[in-house]
Amino acid sequence: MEEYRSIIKEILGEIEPYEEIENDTDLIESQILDSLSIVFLVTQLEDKYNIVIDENKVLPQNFKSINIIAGILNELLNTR
Amino acid sequence: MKRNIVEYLKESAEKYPDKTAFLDERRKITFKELDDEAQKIAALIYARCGNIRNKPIAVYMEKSVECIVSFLGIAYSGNFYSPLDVHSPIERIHKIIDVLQPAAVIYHTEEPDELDDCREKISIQDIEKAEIDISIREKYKNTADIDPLYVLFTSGSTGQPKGVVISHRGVIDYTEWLYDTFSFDADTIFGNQAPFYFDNSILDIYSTLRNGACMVIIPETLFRFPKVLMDYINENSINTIFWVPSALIGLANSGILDKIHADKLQRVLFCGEVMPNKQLNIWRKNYPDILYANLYGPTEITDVCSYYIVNRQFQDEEPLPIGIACRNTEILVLNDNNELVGENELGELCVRGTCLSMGYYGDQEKTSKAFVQNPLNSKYCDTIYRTGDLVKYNAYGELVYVSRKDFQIKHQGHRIELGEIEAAAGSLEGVNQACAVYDNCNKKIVLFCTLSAELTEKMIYRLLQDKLPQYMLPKKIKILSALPLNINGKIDRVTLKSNCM
Repeated sequence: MEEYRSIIKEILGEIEPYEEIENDTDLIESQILDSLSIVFLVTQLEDKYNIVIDENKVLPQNFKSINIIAGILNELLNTR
Repeated sequence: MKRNIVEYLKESAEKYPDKTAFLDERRKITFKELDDEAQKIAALIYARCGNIRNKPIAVYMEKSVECIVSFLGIAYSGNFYSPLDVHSPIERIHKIIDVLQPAAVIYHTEEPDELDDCREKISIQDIEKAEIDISIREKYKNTADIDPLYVLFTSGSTGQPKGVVISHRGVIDYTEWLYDTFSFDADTIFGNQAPFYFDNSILDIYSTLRNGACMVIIPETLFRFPKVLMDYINENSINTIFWVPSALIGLANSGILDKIHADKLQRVLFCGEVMPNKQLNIWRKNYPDILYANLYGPTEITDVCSYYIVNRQFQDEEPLPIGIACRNTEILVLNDNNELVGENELGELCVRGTCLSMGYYGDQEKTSKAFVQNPLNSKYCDTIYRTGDLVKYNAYGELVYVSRKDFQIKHQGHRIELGEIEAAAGSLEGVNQACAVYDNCNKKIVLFCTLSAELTEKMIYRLLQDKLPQYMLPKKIKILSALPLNINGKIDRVTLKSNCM
């Protein structure tokens, strides 16, 4: 999980180099994730782990924070 | 012809009393309820501010049905509204309040402490206590079509936002043209994307009122989640959307259009920035038989002054025209000598017509620079608005947007003066000079600074967060020992721009 968290943090850092993003920062409320950056994050994760993230998974409740995204990623990789 | 937009509300409340007019996540409101609540707002305004007329009243709340109630209540009372962006930093809100000097501010539930300098604060909750009498019911009849309806604030190059004043007449002229051109009716269901402080929302709001249609306020968050957004469109039977291209591009790029079909969709209209054919073609492939229209216009001319109904195929890399002037509007394309341009010649798009704004609120100087006498006419008063947009005519005689004359940019549909970002950065302690450029390829605002104190990029960003809305914040900050100058001694933006790409 720690690895997933740091990978996600790294990708978000490319989009928002100056924002202070903690593992539990609300990415939706804070507007850190906008429509473009979500697509960017999803495709980066897909490439990195060679997975497909179904659009049914791309929901507000699944992208609320780094912790939650890491959990989803973990789940996807385990059921692969 | 209608005298004011309240007459639209009155007619629809009479014709469709129990039909849903507006809805958001929490509630819906019928035309009759809307008429009642608007009168109550008007009553509250009189009770708290006295018998005022043609005075500004700010609306400070999240996008909701209550915003619409407030707008119409203010119009009902014979005053004009100005929606403030609650997500904007407080410093920017204060700059706007300083210019607007509103007679009152209407808020939702929590009293906004940050607006202490406002004279009267009216909670929308107080609507229950309002008492309506016959004098209030008739009040709207005194409003003439040249009275202002709203003031929208747009980015200003010196760092001070400019308040664009629009009359009832401008909105009525626009709404009637929309009805004739796009045949909106009581079956039209708008899926609203535009924030209310952005004038694209004028189409949705006033077409709903005029035609007894319905406007669904789509929660902003959904635009980040393509599948949820498509499901929402279907659940609400939305058949007409007027969105900023960024929102349409997002859906096209996500691939969702191939997977979920919006069954009721009939019209896709867009305005606010350039719509690339690459993404429009993805829409057209999935919805070949519906109507697409590219609308164009700055806030200063009541949302839209030209339009192009998509009627032929385009290659991905071709530009989409902005078309021809709307009815009752004339577009003059003037070259540097103030003459009409010839074939293939670049010129500035200038507009004349009823749609013209009444100028910038409390700023005679800026008004007289942008709203000028028609240089082709010296015989009588004939005002044109100079947009600062450079355009030319294509072989079809349609207008095509080419670029800006100045440092205004469009970023994710927002109109931004790079000067406003520079002014904010320049005002920071420790920053000597600041220059902002737009990296068109990566769609990023880049800020270059020289410093007089030890500051990091992160610190500069943090300080800017208190001054600028999220969408104006630079995504890249570069600290230089000196800014490059061109031979005229001005900051060399060309070099800076090429250096960041």
